[in-house]
Amino acid sequence: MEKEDVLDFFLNEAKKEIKRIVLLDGEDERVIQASHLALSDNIAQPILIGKKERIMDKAKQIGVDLNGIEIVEPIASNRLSYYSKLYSGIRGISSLLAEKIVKKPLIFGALMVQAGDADGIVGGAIYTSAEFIAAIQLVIGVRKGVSVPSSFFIMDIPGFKGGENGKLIYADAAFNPDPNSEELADIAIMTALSAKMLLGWHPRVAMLSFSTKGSAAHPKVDKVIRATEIAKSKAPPGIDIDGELQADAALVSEVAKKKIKGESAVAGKANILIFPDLDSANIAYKLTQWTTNAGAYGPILQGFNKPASDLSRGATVKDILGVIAICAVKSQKNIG
Amino acid sequence: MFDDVMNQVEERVKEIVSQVFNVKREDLRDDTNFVLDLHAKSADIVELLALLEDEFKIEIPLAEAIRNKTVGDAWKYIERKISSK
Repeated sequence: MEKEDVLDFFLNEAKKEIKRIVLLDGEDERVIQASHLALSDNIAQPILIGKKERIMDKAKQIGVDLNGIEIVEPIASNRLSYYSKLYSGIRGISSLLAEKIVKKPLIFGALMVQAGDADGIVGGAIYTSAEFIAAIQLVIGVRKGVSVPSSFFIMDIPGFKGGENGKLIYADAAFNPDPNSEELADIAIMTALSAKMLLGWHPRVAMLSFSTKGSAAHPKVDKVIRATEIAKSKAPPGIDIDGELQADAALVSEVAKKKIKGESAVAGKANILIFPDLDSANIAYKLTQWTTNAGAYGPILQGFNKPASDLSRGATVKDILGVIAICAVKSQKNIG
Repeated sequence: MFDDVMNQVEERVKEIVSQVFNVKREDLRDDTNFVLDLHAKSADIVELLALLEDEFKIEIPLAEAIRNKTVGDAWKYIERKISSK
């Protein structure tokens, strides 16, 4: 990815192969507008979930043409009984009980993706992230070998010369409060794979700490050292990982040269920063965003068997279009 | 009529809880804790809410639901929701 707006990058990539994306919050005006734009700009084939009559009325009120967009009302769907059987198999409960649960749009939408009737799912403002992620974990499942789903932000930092053409990825700044070493290692590997497959980067992953290569001794440092070892041993080829590193040693080559003895493929030139916990990651992303006027794209969820993206409550139509595009690109690259 | 419905709430909630967590109805008490005793995970909560919403034709926001720590909290919460409808 060259010096290009992150959003434009995903919108252009999505156009290369049209994917069917389920939008849970089908009755929301912004979602209706975004789905119209997704279809008319050839970004995705949207599927709206909700009450058909309400969606059509809302679209009429705001003057949006929904021609060509499928609207699915779970309770009236001819797939309800099939999905109920599918769900009862996943959870080991009776079909009768399953049918009551499956009628919930959140579960129904996830089952559409699981059954192959859609390629990805975008959550909505009506569900919290916790509900959305729980349902996706339940129905679509977490990728084999990954201990926890996680999330990352793409930070586009004005005037920053390092990283990947001034861009950095921060993880996990939204979801896992206090990952242990194994989980932190999985977050690092998943984020590296996402960067490689979605953005075409060569991942240079820094495992961040307040210590650089043993400069401080503390159980919190030990956690990152252990996570680095696990990540290095589990990572597929083509991913560079190093740690534990302080942020300056990760990003600034002059500092890296002073603080680190020997060669490092990451120190001084990291493009992916893995923070030890949610406190540090979330604080860092917000500080970067507001002190440098950086673009912050995310949180982008990762680690599921199929693509699932959450929407923030305050999402604009443009934001929703971007999330649809990211979900579609994930499906193209077969990454969840 | 309304009193009858209310009297049934406790039973109907306990029945649904027993189905979701695969425990005997008679083993559920008002002080049975969802997390400590039934080992509830977020997926169980999503299912439980879906079934309660279907049973009582009400909407239960997750943020409100998670304040109910015990089975007793849950059926009393549902009763309040129904009476405020």
